[in-house]
Amino acid sequence: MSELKMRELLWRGFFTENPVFRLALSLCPAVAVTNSVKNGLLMGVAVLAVQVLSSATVAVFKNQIHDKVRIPVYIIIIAVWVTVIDMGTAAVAPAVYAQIGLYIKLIVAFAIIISRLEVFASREPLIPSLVDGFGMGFGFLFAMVLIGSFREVLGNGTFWGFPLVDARPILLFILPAGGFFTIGLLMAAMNWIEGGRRG
Amino acid sequence: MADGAKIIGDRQITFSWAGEHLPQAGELRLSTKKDPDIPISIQRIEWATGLPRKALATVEATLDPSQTYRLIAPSTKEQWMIAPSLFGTVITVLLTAALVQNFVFTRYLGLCVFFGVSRKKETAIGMGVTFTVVGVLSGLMAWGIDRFVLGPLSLNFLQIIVFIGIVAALVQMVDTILKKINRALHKKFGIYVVLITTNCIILAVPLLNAMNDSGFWESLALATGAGLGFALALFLMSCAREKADLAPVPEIFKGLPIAFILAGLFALAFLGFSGLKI
Amino acid sequence: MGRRGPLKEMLKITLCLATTCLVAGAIVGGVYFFTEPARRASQVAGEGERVRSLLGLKAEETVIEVRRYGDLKGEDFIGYLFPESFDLYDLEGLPLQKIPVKEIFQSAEEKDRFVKNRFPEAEFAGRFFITPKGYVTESVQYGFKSPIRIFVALTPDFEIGGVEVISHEEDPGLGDEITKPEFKNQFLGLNAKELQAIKVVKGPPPKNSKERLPKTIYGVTGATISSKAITEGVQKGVSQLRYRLKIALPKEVPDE
Repeated sequence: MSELKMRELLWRGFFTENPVFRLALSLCPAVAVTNSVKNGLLMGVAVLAVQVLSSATVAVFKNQIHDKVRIPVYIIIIAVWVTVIDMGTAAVAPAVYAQIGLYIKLIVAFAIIISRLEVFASREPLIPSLVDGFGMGFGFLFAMVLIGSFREVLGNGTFWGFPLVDARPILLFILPAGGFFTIGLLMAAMNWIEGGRRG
Repeated sequence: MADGAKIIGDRQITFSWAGEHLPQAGELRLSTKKDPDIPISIQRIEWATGLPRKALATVEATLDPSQTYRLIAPSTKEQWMIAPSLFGTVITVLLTAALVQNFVFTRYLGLCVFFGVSRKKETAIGMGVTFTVVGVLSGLMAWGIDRFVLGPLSLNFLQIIVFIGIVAALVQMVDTILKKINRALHKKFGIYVVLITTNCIILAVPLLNAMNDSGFWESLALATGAGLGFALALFLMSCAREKADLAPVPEIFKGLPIAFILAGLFALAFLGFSGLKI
Repeated sequence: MGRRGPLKEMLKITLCLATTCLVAGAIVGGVYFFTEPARRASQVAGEGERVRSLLGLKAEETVIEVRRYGDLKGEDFIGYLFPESFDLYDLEGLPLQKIPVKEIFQSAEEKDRFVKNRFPEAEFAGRFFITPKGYVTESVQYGFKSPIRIFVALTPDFEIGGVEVISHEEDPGLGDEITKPEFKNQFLGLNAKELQAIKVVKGPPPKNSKERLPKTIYGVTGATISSKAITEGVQKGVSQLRYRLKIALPKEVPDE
């Protein structure tokens, strides 16, 4: 595979088809666990891992998977990796798990992962599938960290727990509703950037 | 065990008594079901005339109607359980899931589908109805399998796989059956049925039920409440988005960004429900 | 193809699905087998750490977890599982039986199994910790929308040595401020009598510390329900622990 194509694949997941801002998929954790950078990052890493592992598994075994039952098989593959990550987090980082446990389990139902399996990994060989999964997962991770920083800085006046400014923070951004506002504003900002690049 | 004991007001309990000897305050023992060893002291007992004898006991602490209490007469081994009514519990769980802790606006679940199909009122209603029906079915099936298969065999670590399997199988089944039985209905609702697999609420409901160790009626109430809450959120959102499509929204906010801002406003409004004591 | 086609196809599909399920089950089971002990160990270690920091214990001072079991279906009893014995009492607090314990337990699950093997109807009902510098009790109180689990530390004189929120689901920015020291530290040093007389008022507390009202907990702004829940949890936890310690460890409890 050429380097050009690889870069294109990565950029696609990162920006032009960013799973959160562009495709508006896998939004639940993007709103739910992004009230701090740390939680956002950890959730992002979990999704990245599930996406890459599932993409790789499907790419390797695609010839063995019967076409008529491929969707259930994909779901089982995702469920296995999610369970593995779920148990791993519970064992290694119980404090984090207490905060994002339920959302890790729900990665199973993420449209983005299964859609990458169906659209990409089931047709392409292992290496491009890995790159695609990595790009998409990284795009998601980037979105989570961006939203998390925005909300934590504005809503709590801190970054990764360290206090930044001694001003009264805007509580709204930490509140549940703040997640929706933040994504709306960031989407608009991305539209604006893209409009500027085109024009 | 005798029935007929009831909490009245903040600190009083009525019960009926069949025996000859009327017990004094010190001869009865009241406690919560959770802490049977810690007595709640009874200050006095008043007896009404007439048979069977009815008593009104006044206790020291404030009683909480959502708790289960236990009243025992050690001399006769008679015992009353004062539990919140099943109907009350079910209504509480249902309203909590639908409004106070609306899955979309306060738990942020099911958002992909929520933003995907809330553009038009018609699709919103279709998805809401389909989801509620399938959600209740899958919630009950998952509850049954978790309670009677996974629990006794201590296979709880297989929960995720089994629950998603149930959902996938059910969706496939509903789709096939609908296609065979009623083509018109299938044409209208088929697309939503397929989309349900990617709605995380459908997986969250059985997981929450398993986590809280809910009984049958509570599981049913949670599944129904989640479905109704999702349908309500979809309907409200579609009304607002139809209006927003006609409004002069800045170019960069058109489409999804404004939908998110609207969802944020709804979430703020739903925060108002959360002080609600049901 | 003939009539064999579809049959072969069906067989293939079934085989494919069955293999996937088997492999999936095997992988998940294997991972569970390896990670579960680690999860339990880290849970025990995490709780021990919390108890230690609440009472300022040194590394060599030991923390003993005492789990309480109740049986509501058969005969009424309350059992306290100590490291050396499982002590049973009736509801009035009169001793029924002492079962010696020879095993050394590594996790809560092993303790539960020990009790279940002897009393199948017994259920775990609560717990507290005994340390050289006091006690820590676990208390659960319903908060704004779900239960809040707290640890309350008590000095040997039964004064509050600290309050720690173990798990909660209160709203970030509002109810979750109960985890901040400014709120939790208001309980420090209260004795049992003062604690029962305490009132919760709307926060924030006045800036000048002289204007602070006595016998008052200042609630978290915008989350009075959560603040009251914590206060009630502390009150209940302390009074129940006193009652139970008098039964299970009569010598060690000071009078009010």
